[in-house]
Amino acid sequence: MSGQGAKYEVFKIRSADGKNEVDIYSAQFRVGNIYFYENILSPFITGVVTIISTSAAAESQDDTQGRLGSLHTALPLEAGCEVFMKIKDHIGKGINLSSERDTYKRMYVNEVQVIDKKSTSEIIQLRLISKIAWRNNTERITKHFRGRITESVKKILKSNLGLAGSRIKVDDSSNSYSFMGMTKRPFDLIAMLAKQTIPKNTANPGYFAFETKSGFNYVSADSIINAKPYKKSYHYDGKVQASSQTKNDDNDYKITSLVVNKDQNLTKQIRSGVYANKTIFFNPASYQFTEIDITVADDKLYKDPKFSTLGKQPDVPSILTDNFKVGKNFHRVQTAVLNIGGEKENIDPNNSPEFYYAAGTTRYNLLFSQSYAITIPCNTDLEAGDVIRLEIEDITDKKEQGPDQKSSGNYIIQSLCHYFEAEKSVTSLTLIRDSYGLHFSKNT
Amino acid sequence: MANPDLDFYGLNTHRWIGIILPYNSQQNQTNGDAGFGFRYRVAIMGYHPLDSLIKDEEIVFAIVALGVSDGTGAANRQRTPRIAQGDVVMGIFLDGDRRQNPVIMNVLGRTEGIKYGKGRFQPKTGFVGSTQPADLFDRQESSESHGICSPRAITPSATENKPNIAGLLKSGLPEIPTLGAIPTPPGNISSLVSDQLGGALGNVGDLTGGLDDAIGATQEQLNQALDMF
Repeated sequence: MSGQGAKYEVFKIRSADGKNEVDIYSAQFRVGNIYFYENILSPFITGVVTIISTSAAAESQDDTQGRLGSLHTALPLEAGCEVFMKIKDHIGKGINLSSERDTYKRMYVNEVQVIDKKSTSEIIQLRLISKIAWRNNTERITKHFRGRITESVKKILKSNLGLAGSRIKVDDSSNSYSFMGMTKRPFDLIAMLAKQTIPKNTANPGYFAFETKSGFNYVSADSIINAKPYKKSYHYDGKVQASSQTKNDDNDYKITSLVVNKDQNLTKQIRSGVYANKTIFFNPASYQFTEIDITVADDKLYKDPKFSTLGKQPDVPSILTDNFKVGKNFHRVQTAVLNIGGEKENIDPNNSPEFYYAAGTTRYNLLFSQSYAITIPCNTDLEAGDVIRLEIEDITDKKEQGPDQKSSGNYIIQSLCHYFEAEKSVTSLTLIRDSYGLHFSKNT
Repeated sequence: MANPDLDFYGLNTHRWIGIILPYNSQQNQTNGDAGFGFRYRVAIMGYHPLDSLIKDEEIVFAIVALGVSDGTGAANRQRTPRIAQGDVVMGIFLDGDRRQNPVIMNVLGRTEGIKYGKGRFQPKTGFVGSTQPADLFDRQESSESHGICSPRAITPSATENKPNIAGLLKSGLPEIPTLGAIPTPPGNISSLVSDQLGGALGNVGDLTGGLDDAIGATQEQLNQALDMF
């Protein structure tokens, strides 16, 4: 069965001063819909809730006669209110952000917008954020960090954002970096570090820092690509069958709509240095300029044997191969001045960009080269950063040959939106991929 | 609403302003016993805390950009930076928004009114380490329009700046400055001068005649030499 309505097992709002509270099961308001968002490019989760409130939804704490009023006025519903919600859906385990003890397992009202106001009711939209989202704005980091980058990230997450170790997932890095907080906010600092971090098992730099309902992730692009896909494949075909007919859960894993947002762009990829890159570094201690040319023609960048991809390793267009032969060896130029010594009185480069500049750029650009938008029946087991496998119907008369070999395969969930309302619930996904095909090149 | 973060010096240009940290925190680099080139630890306004949450030794070194007429050391042309602890310096971040790799571009001169303190962002004396006050200039540490206070010749204090009365009396001059106290020299001054000038000019005429004779003799010798060829 697909698109079933969601059940709100818990939905209550606590006022910003913590003195007043309304519960959906005891007060006169109802939830119109809920959007819940995750994105591997966003360090925190967000949500939007639409509430329909009557004129007697909450008892004002300021009113000595205990009169009832609308949520907006009597609760009062304002920025800083806490929202507890536990939503059950048909396929997944649901979303549980209703913890009374753990303040990181609930949402906070960031904005309140009154959409419609009548004499007896009002429609209010709440924009929600997680705790680390607002806490990030209260923190300025001035400390000095040294050692492995991922150890520094863990320290920031724990000491500056207050996250418990159990809610942090970090892939260990191989490189170290000595750096100052420079009064940056935690997420700004983490975003700066993500581009410079090289995972332990490979030489491919590039990390993502994002929050899902399970916790905070600081994980390498490589580990996302090499992750095991979701247990069920999602299929896209023209067949429409009622669940009663299929007598299985096929319809739960059916893609209801598929839109190709982006499918490669040769000129953009050339300009972004996916195929050939020149990096120039100046070392102020040795007074030397160093040029490094790397191209796919030399089995570098994504042609590096250690470079894992979601699909078949992409080929180099022959027009570019010919171009390399006539000496066109770089398409993008990047420059940097090396940070020598850092805070120490020595002459060692501090996390030299020679190791991450070009390769990191290639990794990020290639990963976002294909983008699909799909809608599926709500599945709260899925999270941003997960890998799912799509089987897309081949446009042929011989369906027995199987799915489309090119567009089918593994995709990364770049972002998702779980949408809940009384009658239906769906999940919208933005999927990204670096290459085509059902078979992937894995690096372990 | 304007972004409150924009009211921050150098946010978009990656420029910064800061103060050189104490000599003790960078002694080896400053003395040339470690590191390379000219580097100074700089506490940067807005980026480093005023308190001791971090140690001075944890603050990154900034390299120094020299002026075009200072020389890089090539062809033995060089001038060392005149930067001391407590100096306020300006610079840019070589790594842009990452802000981990600062370079010092300029200094701001000290004024006479500055007050020294022990805090991280408080000025400190530049007389530290091997830099000690010079005898002539004493402990001056400011750079302003009126210039440095330099030494001048003064009368030895033993005379107490009094006139030499005994010497005046011995020369026949009155104790108190008096108009006409020095007598007029005897005779007509102008005829004395012209007589002496006339004699001198006569000597010049003798010299010219001698020079002509010498030139004539030389010419004759040259002609004889040419005839031989």
